[in-house]
Amino acid sequence: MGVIVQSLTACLLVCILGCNYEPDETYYKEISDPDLTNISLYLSNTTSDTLYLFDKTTLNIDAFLDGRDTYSVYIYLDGNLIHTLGSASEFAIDAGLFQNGAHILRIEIYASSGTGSLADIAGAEQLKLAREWVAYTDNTPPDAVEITFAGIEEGKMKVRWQRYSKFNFGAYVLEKQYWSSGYNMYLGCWTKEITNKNVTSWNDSTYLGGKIRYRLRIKAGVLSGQPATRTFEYEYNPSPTFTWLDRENVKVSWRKPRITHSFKNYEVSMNFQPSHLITAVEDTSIIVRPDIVYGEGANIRITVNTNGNRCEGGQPVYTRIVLGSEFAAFSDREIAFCPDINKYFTRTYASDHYSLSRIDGTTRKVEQSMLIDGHFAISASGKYLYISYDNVLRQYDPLTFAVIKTHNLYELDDVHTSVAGRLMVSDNHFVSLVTHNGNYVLQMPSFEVVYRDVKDNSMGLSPSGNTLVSNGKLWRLDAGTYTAGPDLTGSFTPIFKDDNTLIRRFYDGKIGIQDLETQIEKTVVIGENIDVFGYDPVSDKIGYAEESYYSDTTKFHVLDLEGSDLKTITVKQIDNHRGQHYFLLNNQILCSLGYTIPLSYYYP
Amino acid sequence: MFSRIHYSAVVLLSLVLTSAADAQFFTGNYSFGVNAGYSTFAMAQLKEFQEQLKHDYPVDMQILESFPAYWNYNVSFLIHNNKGYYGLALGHTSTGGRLYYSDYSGHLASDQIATMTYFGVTGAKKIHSGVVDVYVGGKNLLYFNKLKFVSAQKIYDENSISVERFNSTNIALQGYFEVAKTVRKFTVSLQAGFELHVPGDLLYQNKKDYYLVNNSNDKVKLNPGGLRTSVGIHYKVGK
Repeated sequence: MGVIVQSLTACLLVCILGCNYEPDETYYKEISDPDLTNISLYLSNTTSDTLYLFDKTTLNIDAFLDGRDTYSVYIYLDGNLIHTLGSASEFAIDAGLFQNGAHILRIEIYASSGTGSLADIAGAEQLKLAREWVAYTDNTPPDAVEITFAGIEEGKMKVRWQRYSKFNFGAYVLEKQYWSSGYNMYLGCWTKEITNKNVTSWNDSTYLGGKIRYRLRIKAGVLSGQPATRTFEYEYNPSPTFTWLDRENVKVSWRKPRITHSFKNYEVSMNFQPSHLITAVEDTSIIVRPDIVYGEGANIRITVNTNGNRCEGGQPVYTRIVLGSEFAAFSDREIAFCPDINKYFTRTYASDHYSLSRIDGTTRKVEQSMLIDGHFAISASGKYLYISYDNVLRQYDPLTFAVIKTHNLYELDDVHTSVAGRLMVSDNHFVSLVTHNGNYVLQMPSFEVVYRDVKDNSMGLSPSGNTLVSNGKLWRLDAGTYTAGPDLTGSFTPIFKDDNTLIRRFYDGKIGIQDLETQIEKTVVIGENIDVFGYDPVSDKIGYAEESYYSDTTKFHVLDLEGSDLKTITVKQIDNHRGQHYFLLNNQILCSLGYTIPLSYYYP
Repeated sequence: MFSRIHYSAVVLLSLVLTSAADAQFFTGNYSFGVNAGYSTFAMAQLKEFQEQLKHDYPVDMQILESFPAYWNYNVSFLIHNNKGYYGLALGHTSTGGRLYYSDYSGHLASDQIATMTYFGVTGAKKIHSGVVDVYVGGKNLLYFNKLKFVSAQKIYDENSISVERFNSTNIALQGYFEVAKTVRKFTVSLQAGFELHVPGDLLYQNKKDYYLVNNSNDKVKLNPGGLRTSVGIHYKVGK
């Protein structure tokens, strides 16, 4: 029985060890040859088999592998491995490391075979793609090219140059410089690099006008050629002007730039308020509301902006909006207007000197100026002009400022004296003056003394010369001599309208307007803080400004000779101590800062 | 859970052996025999796992074999009486699967080989006596399974192979019919039955907590349940 059990167990063990299931079926997949028709290898820098290299040239590999994976890329120059890449991308060749001349550039790409076989998937089967180029190297500095044109063309600032012909080209480097009058030399403005060799012109959108210079050189890697230069100059100034449309609105206009291509916008602002941008080049005006009083100005700032950084002459320009119109500026309280010759005469203090100017009544421009030492006086008709200084009294031609005659006050009484006060001249050619030796009225040009008295600063001569105020009395010219009339009491400065009307400004803040026939005097209180007080024969009115030190504005008063119709005008406060004053003259309110406005503007 | 079932099976086998020894063994009415036959295997989870494996490869792998029917061998020791017999059985069977691809550059094979050795008790009741005897019976078996994954690759001249092993234990119940003819001391029998399994986890080289799982992280089990057919011959010892 033991034999049986052993036999059965042995049979089972044999089965366990030797009769187990073993898979043995197989499957074979037929795979066709790979399709290589859509495979190619290029360099984006060239479409041919020739390359031109200089400095560090970057080359870009364009490999079309029809969906295959790239394993590695090897780049050889003259058989030497110079780059190994993981994919078909860009690489650089430093041509400076190789001699000038021809070389062989070879690129080998290893990629998946694309068969889809087991070996392809496992990466054990690869496709090798290789191509060669002839590469020429040139490491010499590039030549210069000529700038053939720089000028304005069809509203554009255009620069043109010759095309660079050699292959060692990296970029055209165009530099713009502007003339600095301060440094007296050209300074750099901007530099552009143009890498397209076929681009041979440039529109400078940063130029509107000014003196400039363009420099052009060829860049080839780290090497640069000699620059070519070309200068150009064209002046553009917006020259803004303004016109009052009504009492509130002002139209500001300016010139349009000729180089419209460069234009970006007009930037207009008033008195540092936020700017207003105008982007249409044809839109060269704007209406503003300056809200100013007479004597005040509203500064208009206009900047013409370009599309880029404008170096030359790109500063803003200004105009100042004022009420009224321009008048030659002066700085003193001595001014006279002669209607018969339509001329103004003003004295101006500047740079430690006085000067006398004659201003045309129509153009309001200075016709002539001359340095003077003392005060001036001109007759109402404008016929006689005198200037006194120290002991000299000199007559001038009002229309030429030529000296007519010179007198020495020493000749009057053989006394050494000099002018000490008011100088006046009348249409009958009498001169009144206050000297340290006394008050005089002189008949000119004979220099004959018509009147002599002790010194009194309240001396006044009527325009005709027939009436005189001196030493507290009224004097009438009678048969060549002055005869004393009624007393005139008080401390005052006399101003004659004519021989029968005397205006006295008392020092206690009153004025008196006296009819010398009837002796009736009307008194008006005007206050003590009064600047220049004057009578305008053209408008037949008295005008004076209040002195005000604590406000931006002050009051200018206009009073008729009846003393009843007082008008008040708000004007800009100006600095009286610097010779800045308002005057009523020639039916205008005149500001010594250089403005004038008709009285009718306020009282039509 | 499965451990308790396994312990229960062992206890059951012990009771049967004790009973056999007590009643008939020493009376000399017993036999030894061998059986050989063909078995089919359900292996549903392993077949699904094969499908997953197929798609995990970057090539067009084909499932060429998927756990087909295969030889089944066992030896048994039986104690006979007038009503039937009962006894012990020890057997072995195997099957496997194959994923395969080849082209001009090489081949790739992934084989899954399952070997199963079992041991248990069997018993049958005679339902007909005549020229041939007819029995109806059952088996309670404990399966010891081994699953081997063999991956082989050859690309051009390069070869590589890797093997991973998993083990599991199943409890199986089988019902069968048997027709037997006895001549002198030899009995030739034909059996046909069906086997059901309670499969255990496939442990990675017997390491606890490392199981075979699918892509959904579900455990994959080896279930060889199916038809069982066999031809056997027994030699009766004793009277």
